[in-house]
Amino acid sequence: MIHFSPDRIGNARPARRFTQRRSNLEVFAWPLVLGLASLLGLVLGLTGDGVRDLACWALLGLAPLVIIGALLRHRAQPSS
Amino acid sequence: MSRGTIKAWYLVHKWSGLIPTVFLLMLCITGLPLIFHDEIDAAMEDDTAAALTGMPSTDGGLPLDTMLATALAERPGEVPLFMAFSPDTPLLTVTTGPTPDAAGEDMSLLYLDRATGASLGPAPSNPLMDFLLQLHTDMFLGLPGMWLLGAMGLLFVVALVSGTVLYAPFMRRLAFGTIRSERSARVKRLDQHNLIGVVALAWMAVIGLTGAINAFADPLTDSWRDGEVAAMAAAYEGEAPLPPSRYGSIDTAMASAQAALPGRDPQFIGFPGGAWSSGHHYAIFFQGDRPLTQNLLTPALVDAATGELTDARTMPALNQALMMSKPLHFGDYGGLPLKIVWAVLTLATIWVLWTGVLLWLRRRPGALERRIEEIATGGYRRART
Repeated sequence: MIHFSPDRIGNARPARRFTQRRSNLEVFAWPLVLGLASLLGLVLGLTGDGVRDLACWALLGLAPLVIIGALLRHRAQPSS
Repeated sequence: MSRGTIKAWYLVHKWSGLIPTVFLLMLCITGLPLIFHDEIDAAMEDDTAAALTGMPSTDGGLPLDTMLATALAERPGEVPLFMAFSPDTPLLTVTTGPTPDAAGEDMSLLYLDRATGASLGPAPSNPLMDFLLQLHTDMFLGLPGMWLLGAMGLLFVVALVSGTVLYAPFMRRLAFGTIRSERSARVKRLDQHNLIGVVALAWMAVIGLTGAINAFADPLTDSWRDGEVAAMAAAYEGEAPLPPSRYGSIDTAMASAQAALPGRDPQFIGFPGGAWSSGHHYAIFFQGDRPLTQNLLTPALVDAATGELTDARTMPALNQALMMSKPLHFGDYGGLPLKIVWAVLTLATIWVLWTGVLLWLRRRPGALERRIEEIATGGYRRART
């Protein structure tokens, strides 16, 4: 197995990097959760009003929140 | 995954992404204001239609024959093509044209109030939104334009699939959500492209697929009419189309149809000779009676001369997919919060497309192998060489 050293190029907070290769399931765990939430949200919104609409907003809203969160987090980290 | 496999998927991703990018950016940019179509229309016009109060036109009101006579009096010499109902207000719309098979651009749309019987005049139009919608639908090129955009939508789906395949080797050693802003602009861009792409993946796939299905709506409707409708109306084969002067009562036709499909709300009526009916029938389209099926329409064909039911059959699977595709593509079925989510995800898509273009433009020359290496190592190799 190839072993990479962590990335330390002039950087106080290096990106987290696994020394072990992750399985497909580990790589796709979060994308899968978000994808299923989005699809469930779409279907719930399409099939009713009221509570289903609320669930639709919450489930489909996860993806935008994750994107905005990730962009804000790395912006808050000063790059050196 | 071997370097050879990565290379093959990389080339698929590169070309299935680059070819439709210009079109997809146009679709995203025109799509953004179209999401808020209702809100923009309401803000820019006096919104008589939304202000109507009374029993929804699906449930009742004045007789449909009376409403049609009022509409035709406003468009003398024209024939009725469609009548559509509102599940929320007494608004009833009637489309007329010079002939039963009139083309879309020759049609006129009238608004009427089924509670009072008053005509509200021609449907208000918004030139800016109409322009954006046309650009978004067919780029003013008619059917070939729709098919071109449909093909671009399918390529987009190919790009999403290949991008997802490449996500696996790239992220093998990286945590979900990694954006490395401390390294080169290229690595940061690559991380953003991958993260936003995979997070918005499901939504983008749904929008791409439903958009492509909508682009092929006209041939799908034609094939339904030439196959299914022709089969339902087989007894009329060989007869000359019914002239508009012999159209009978719509109220009688509606009563026959509702006797066959009790408890369903009508959505619209296709008049004889148009794209949505046979030459002899009122095709009355009913919504499903359950939340899950409300977007799936069941047409009842009623003899337009006698008002007797000929047949009522659910539409074929492809046409049902087409009907589900419209709301799923437009995102207009869950109120303003859903539209805001739609808009944010559209902006995210623009960013994925834009970073994709930059990754291709700002590459080091002659280095296909370098791209493959970048994906296989999660973007680490280059900095070390």
